[in-house]
Amino acid sequence: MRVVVKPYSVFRDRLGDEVILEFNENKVVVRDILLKLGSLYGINGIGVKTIVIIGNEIVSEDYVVEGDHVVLYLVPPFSGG
Amino acid sequence: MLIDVRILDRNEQLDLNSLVSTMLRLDERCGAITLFIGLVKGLVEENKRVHELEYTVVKEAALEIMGKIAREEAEKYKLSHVVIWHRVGSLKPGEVTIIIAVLAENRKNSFAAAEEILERVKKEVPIFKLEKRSNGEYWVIGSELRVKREK
Repeated sequence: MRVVVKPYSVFRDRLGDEVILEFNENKVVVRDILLKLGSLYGINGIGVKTIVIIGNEIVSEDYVVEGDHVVLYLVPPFSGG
Repeated sequence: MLIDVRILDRNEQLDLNSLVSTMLRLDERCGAITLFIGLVKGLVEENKRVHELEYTVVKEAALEIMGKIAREEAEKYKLSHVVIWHRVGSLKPGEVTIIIAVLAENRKNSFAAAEEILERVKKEVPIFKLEKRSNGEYWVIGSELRVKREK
């Protein structure tokens, strides 16, 4: 399965506009996606909390992603206003 | 109850006279409008000059969450009308970033609701700032942290 990662803010500088990750399984938990992003792009080294949005909702690291081409937004704590 | 949430590009007009005029006519039981206007600061952190503030947004999620905040606050404070307009893109110091307007039965609810809505928007809506300033470009993370942009 493929997961489309769209990074924002400080993560976009590290990952670019979009990253597509491939997994052998048909489902994967968000925690494993973040681990893969950590090993590939060193996002943990930025020192900023990661927040994940899928389907217009903030999801936890235990959230199970199923299906091909699910879009995941990788964002830091918000700073609107 | 009327809810009006929008993400606006910089080139979209903000007609505050029209907004307030509309709210004045909406509900005879209401006695208070609170209007909050957020602006881009020209100076931050020990007088570092800001040239531009660039906002990005996860738009669909932002609109959904803004709608949820507006509905919840309207119910909590018995509001007749809630407006949350947030601008995105590149904004200059002195330009408007956000408009929050509420129409309530009384001033107490009106002030409290507007403040609570603003705080919730800042914490719960996926919008992000990049400060372009005299000593470099900084991502604003949450309410306090700034991370200098990688080259």
